[in-house]
Amino acid sequence: MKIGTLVRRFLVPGLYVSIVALLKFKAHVSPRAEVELSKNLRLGRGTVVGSFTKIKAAEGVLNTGPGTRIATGCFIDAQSGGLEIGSGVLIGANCVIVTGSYRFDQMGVPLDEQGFTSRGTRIGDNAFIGSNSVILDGSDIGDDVIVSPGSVVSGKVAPGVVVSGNPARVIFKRR
Amino acid sequence: MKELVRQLVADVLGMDPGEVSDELSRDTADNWDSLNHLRIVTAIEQEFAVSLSMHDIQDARDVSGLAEIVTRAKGAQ
Repeated sequence: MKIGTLVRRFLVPGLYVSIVALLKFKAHVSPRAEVELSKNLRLGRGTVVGSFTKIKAAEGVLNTGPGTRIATGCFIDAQSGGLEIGSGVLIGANCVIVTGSYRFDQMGVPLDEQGFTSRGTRIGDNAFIGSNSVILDGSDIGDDVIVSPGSVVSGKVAPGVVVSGNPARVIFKRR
Repeated sequence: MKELVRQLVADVLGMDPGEVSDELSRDTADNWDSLNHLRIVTAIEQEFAVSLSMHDIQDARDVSGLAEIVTRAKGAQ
């Protein structure tokens, strides 16, 4: 692990992160959240990050639009493909949003020796991600989408629909 | 039409069609929650080729109510 990453992850007090986020982005980050202050992190004005949420943005860009709210206990990891979260997005408790996955094309070789891919993930404006949902790498969630709690999303989700399940399927078109 | 609505409700809720009465409602069926309600509405819209308003969707609470809004929507076409 690089020394800079080490310092960011383990030696920066939560209260300092909260103050920097407030001054730099006008965002409200709980002192009990674990947010890496890297140059890749851009929080929109009024973004709220709840306690015990971990946000990693060392490898790729993480943008949140204004007014996005991330509840408690989430894990959000921006790898090289990046993560775009729109404005007014609500992310429920204990969600996982990832932007990478291990390659698995060689049997008998440990996954962490096979490399890592990152296509990036996007969540559109005014989307709602229900608690305990998992958003996988390569997901492209349209504006105004509702992801029901406990869903697993991968791939493209059209704007204005309600999706549910694992894998998440469209169950309703909003109107 | 009501028979088909009963069948669709039974399919979504995982019930035997014989168990689905006209009075079966969101209040009396254990697993007729908000998500399954949306699934039922989507199944009905696809089966009858209608588009229901959010107002109707929210108001319909039982099998009879669903059949009623489908009849109304078909009449409006």
